[in-house]
Amino acid sequence: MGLIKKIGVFFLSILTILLLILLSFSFTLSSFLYPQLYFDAFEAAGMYEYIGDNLENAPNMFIQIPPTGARALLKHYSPIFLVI
Amino acid sequence: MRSDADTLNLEVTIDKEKLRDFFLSSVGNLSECKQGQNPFNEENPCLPQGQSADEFLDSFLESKGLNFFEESTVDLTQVYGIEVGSEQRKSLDNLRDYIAYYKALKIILIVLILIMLSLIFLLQQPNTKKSLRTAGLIFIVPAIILFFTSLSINRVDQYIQISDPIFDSMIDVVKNALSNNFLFYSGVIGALGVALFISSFLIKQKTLLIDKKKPIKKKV
Repeated sequence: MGLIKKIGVFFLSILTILLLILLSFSFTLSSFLYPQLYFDAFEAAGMYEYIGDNLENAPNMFIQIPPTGARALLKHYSPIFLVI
Repeated sequence: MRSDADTLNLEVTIDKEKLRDFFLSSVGNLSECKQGQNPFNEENPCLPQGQSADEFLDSFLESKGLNFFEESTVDLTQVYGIEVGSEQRKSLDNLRDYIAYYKALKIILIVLILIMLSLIFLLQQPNTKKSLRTAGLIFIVPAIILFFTSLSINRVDQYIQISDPIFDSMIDVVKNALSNNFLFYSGVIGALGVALFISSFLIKQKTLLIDKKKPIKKKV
């Protein structure tokens, strides 16, 4: 009986370790589902300035750019590229 | 994902003047209509004689039932064919359902972990010290694995060469965010594991104390 208990505890422990790792991965990967990560990436890469310059010079750009610039525009319209 | 918002709002404010100028410049490129030619033909429109570009644009849009200039906003869900009830919208909603399952999975995992820990605790009763030590180890092992995962994510750029500086900076931010998250969870789980492990040495084993008080019966 003692051996069966030990084997049981061993397998339950392995399973719990795997579940803990899976839980940590799922919490970490959740950040991809929210726009903040993308905004930070855009900020660091200077994408707002790049997009802002291109939008201002684009001849067929009909979306109104707010006075606060491309940053506000992209944050406001984030559902467009996070359509899911 | 549009955070936790259920409604998909893709309304954008358009610059009506710019849009009108664009259409007017297109109308300006049209040749004058020949006799019998339909000016409203989509394939080959033409500018009716005696009509200005402004007048023709208004009549053309009216003939097609388009009202670009009446409202200052455009709903892009209709432009991209993802309005409510469309096939593409159903596909998007299906995808959102999977994300909802993914969110539910986290709660299920937490419940499962608690059940597993309870089972381990029950199997090792009445030895509470042993149960705490096992639980401590169960938390410490994934903490170590997550710590090394965090370190390996930071070294990913040694194996991937990205020539575009903008894309490279974006990857750096994503990589750092993931690495920091793994480090955070490693710290939390590790601290919990160490606390459980240390507490196993600090608590007094009740069963042993009870046993000591009882007189030992010798078998004859």
